[in-house]
Amino acid sequence: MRKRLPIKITYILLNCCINILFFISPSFAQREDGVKIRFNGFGDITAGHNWGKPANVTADSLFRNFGEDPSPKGTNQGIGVQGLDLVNTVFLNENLTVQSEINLQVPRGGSGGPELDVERLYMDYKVNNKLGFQGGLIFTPIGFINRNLYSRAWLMNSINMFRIVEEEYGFIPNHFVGLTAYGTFNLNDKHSLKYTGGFGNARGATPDANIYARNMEGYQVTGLLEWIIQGPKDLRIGMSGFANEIPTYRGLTNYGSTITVNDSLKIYLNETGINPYIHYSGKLFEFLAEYHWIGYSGKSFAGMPVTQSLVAELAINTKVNEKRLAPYIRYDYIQTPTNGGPYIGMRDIGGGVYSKFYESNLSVMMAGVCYDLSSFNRVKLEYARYFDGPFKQNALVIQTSFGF
Amino acid sequence: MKNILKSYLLLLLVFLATTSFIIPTAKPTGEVVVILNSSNPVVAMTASQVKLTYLRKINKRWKEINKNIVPIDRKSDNEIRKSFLKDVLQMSSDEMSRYFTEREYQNAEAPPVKFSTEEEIIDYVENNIGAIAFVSKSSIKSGSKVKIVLSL
Repeated sequence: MRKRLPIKITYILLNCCINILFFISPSFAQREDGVKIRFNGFGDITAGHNWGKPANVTADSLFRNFGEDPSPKGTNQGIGVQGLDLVNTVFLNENLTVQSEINLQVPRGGSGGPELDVERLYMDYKVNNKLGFQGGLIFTPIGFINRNLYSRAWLMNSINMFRIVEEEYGFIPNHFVGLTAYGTFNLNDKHSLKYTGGFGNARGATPDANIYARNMEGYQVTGLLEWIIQGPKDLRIGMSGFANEIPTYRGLTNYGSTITVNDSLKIYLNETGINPYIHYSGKLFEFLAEYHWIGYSGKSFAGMPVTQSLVAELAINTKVNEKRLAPYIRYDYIQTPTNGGPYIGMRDIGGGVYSKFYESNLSVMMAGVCYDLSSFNRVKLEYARYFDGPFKQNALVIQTSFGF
Repeated sequence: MKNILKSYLLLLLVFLATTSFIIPTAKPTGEVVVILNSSNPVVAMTASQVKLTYLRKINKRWKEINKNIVPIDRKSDNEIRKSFLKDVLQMSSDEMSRYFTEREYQNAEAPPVKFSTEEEIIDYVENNIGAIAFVSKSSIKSGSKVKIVLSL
């Protein structure tokens, strides 16, 4: 488990960061040797209220008995900050760029103080359009959401975090430390093919240990192929996948069960995922759909437990006072394996003891509207109706998000 | 009192209606053109190609010379910039600003280099083979090391 900073210190840090974000404009400094340094930041403030009966009474009971936090992650009850990030980009020369991102985040389940950590730290080296490399701590190059919308309220139309890429659930490997090769091949003026292949460290012994990818044991390979159709509109159809060899422990079969880990319980779990997606951005509307299939296999259990997820969002582009106003609808679905399978819900609770916490299914429909007040500020209002999981049936959330 | 208020409102409406006809809308002072460094082998571009290139939608580099595409922008808004954004990029100023900030987070791409005057822009393009910029045609002096690839 990550160590959390004392609340007083983190609130002072949070305050400092907000002051920096509001009072320092984005800067683009160029040194005499031609090196350009750029500072950016983004974040959000979200306030919400949940009401009604639990969407699923059984799920609610399981969560009360075996849930990890006081409330399900991403519930948006009360006022909170989903994330506050500071980004530093150094353009060293024509080919080489270094980017780092520091993240200050409140735990999504509402327990403990804000946490400060390094979200990304990598070097990018471009050879030409067809070949480039990225090395370091990066977002695992899978799907569309994990690469482009991860924890970025300012870039999203909707408010609810995409749970499938939520690092505190750990359904997919959202970060890794490794090397990727990428490039784009132009088929003609409008059609091109983008690829990314990656090799890096495996996920941690527990899914949440994957946060910021600190585990250095095991390995992971990833692949992504994206067909891009450009013109007045932007259409991307992609397929990605990953294979992980996760060093973890066996023996956690039911929710609430615990084990004291030792070498005899150690296993290497094979995790495989495929993630097809489609993203369309045009004058009239934007559409995003992404599906995840994640299967586990290993010698210590029979069959292949599977996690499945679907995200679909449609936003209609209109304008009010020359600013974008986009009503939207979104549907999120997650189905977890029975008892979390061999991996989902595992947590290190300290002292060499691991336990299995309840991670629920999810089915939620959202409808809302987002409005761009300016180029650096987006406000949103969203109503969510939950059909499955331990969540209260109704939620109303407002958000102001910013980026520069 | 009510009558006075009505009269004031009426006067205000008449004033606004009249001034909207009287005050001319500012137009670009000359033809807007898209320019490249004269050593760049690209000779002509369509508006659609300029959009894809300027926004680095597909390629980050000029494939002909393998140099980074460097979009150039104005520090402040003017009619030339408005014309380029409307006719070529089909974006508002806010949308363009947001677009490049997004690209910076997602792909570590540099935002456009910004200048105050057309002289500065032309000087930069003359010295940077990967640059792409928009200026008024009248600002290009003969003998300048830039070439026009699109006239709007």
